[in-house]
Amino acid sequence: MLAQATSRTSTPSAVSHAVNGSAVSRASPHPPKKAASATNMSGMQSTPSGGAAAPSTTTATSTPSKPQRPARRIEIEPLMNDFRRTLGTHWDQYREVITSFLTGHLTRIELERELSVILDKSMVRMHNQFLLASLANALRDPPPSSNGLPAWNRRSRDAPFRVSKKSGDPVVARLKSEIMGFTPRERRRIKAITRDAGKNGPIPSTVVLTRQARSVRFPSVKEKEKSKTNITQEITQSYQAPLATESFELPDTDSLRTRILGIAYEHGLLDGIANDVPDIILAGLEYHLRDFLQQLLDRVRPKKHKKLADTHFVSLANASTQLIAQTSTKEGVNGTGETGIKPSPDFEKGVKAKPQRTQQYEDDNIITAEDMALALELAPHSIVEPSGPLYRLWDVMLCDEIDDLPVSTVQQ
Amino acid sequence: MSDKYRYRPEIQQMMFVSGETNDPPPETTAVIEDIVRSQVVEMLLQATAQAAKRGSRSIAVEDLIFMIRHDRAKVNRLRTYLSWKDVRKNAKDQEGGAVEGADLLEDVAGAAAAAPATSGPVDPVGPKMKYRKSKVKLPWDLINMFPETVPDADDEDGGAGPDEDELEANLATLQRLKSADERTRAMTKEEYVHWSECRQASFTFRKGKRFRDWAGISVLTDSKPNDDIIDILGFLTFEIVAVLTEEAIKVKEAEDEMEMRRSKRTKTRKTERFLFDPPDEDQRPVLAKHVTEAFRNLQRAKPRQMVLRNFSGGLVRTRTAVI
Repeated sequence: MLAQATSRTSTPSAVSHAVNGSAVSRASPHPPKKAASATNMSGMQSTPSGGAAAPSTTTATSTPSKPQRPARRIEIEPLMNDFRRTLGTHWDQYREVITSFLTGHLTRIELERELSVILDKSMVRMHNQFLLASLANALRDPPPSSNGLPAWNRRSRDAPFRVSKKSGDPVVARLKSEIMGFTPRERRRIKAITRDAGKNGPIPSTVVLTRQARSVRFPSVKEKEKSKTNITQEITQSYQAPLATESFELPDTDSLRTRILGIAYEHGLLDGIANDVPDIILAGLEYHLRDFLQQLLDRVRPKKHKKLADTHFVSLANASTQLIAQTSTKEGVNGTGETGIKPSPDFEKGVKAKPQRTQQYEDDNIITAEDMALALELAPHSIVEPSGPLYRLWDVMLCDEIDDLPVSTVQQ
Repeated sequence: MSDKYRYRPEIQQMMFVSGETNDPPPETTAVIEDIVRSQVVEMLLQATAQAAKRGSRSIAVEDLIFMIRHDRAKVNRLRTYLSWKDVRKNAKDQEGGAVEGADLLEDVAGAAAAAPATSGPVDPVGPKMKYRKSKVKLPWDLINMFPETVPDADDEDGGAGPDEDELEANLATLQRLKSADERTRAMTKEEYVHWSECRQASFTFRKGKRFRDWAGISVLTDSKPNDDIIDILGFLTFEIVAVLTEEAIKVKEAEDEMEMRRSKRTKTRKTERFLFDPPDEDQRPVLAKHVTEAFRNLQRAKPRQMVLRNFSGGLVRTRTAVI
């Protein structure tokens, strides 16, 4: 009796357990899901190995000495299609949730919470199968066609996925297979290239523009009389003309003419240049260089013959000697009383001996690169505007942070 | 622009007067003629723009003088020249005889030398005639900015003396006259006659039409400039040639000095100079490159253009300066 009772109680308890289990499952699908996913998680390590092991055992038995060969992939597409049909309208949401979980946006708890809304009991199994199968596939060789599973990305309102095998044209088929071989991002980018893409960019990059400006352009010749080869030949010749920085002198008329001709052709002036164009350009170049040199020398050298001779612009190369000369003349003129500095007798003697030498130095005053850098810093507009070589000149100057002038022995 | 240069004799005469004793080669006169023509074009363009700012279509005398307003000496000389033009016109009407332009021009020089600060009438032609020298009123002068006309300050003594600019202007004029005086001091009569003829050389005197064609005035301005304008242009072109020649001579001398210093430094002794050597000057006329260098010196950016940017630089937009 008791045993029957117990058995009876056990069965109803088992039934109730089962009922409970189902009720629990109906009421709160978490635990079974949890259990399922838990088993999944725990089994995840085991199943792939199990899955891998199971077929591999077959192969292993056949070839025990060979290493474990990965099995063929599981056909996941029919699985997904069935699942999709079952889910119906929830497919999109399911897809979003799974993607976010896989990319790390959702935690496990959040995933389960989301999925509990969508899936019910029968679908749990399909969900498990789907995920496990894709995991198993991930550990095997990639599929032969690496375009992934296109059906995965289809939204429910898209047209049902059709396997299009109807294009009989081999070229089209080849093109299509190639293009579908790109990732979706690539395809989107290619589709975005229209006729005027890149013409009015938001802010043209300096680097790109410089590259474009520096590249050689060949003009499009339409008339028959100017042969294109002649023009391109002229252009290439112009690039071989000697540069002024190499020959260390101003270009002469002929080399200048070749260069001007090349540049004119590049920019579309196909009629060539007149005979006296290089002369005018050379005259202008000389004018500009003289102007610049004059401004440079004005800032760097003392002017001997003008009214402002008492403002001494000191050449850095001979700074110390000139400062000494200056103070000596000043002392001589003003007398020691005014300046307040009483030089010691030997100092004065030594200083007085210097002026003769500095006179000679003034004649031999050599302008150095430091002078040029200083003058250009004071007046960068003497060469219209600073450009590459000027920046380089400023950058290669070695100067102390503290003082720019060399140390002078006389403090004024 | 035609390549034929039409004003070579005039330019040669002007250069002679300004201090160049040798015969200038044709390239030099060609360069000077080109420079003068470009300057005339520039002056007319700027004067037309100035007149347009005023709201007038024709160029007035004041527009041209405005271009050179910073050079007081030149402005004064120009005003004297214009006033003497009036005198001459009146004299012609009154006397009924042709008064030689040469006398008047020399008298201008003499009068300016004798009485630098006054503009009181000096009678060169005859004691009987009384002239009113009409001074061209400069609208930008301080004295003209008041609604009341201030009586001429030059007539008073004890008034505010000539200011610094005035003194400097007179100094420049005097200097030029002094150098001319030194040159002519040792001349014989024929030489002096030659000198005075050269002094009259002008681009426009009695050649107005030729000047207009040469400068292309019909292309530059809509309205036909009157004779006063042409006369002023003639005066200014003379000044341009004079200034260019003086600067070119300075450039040439600086170059020669550098050459001599260099030869001295390298200690290459040329043959010693003897008493009966031909003069060296003959071999060194002013060359075209000296003239271009002189022109470049005159076109340098003036400090006032750079001051606007506080001496710090930036792109200084240069304008072709009227010499």
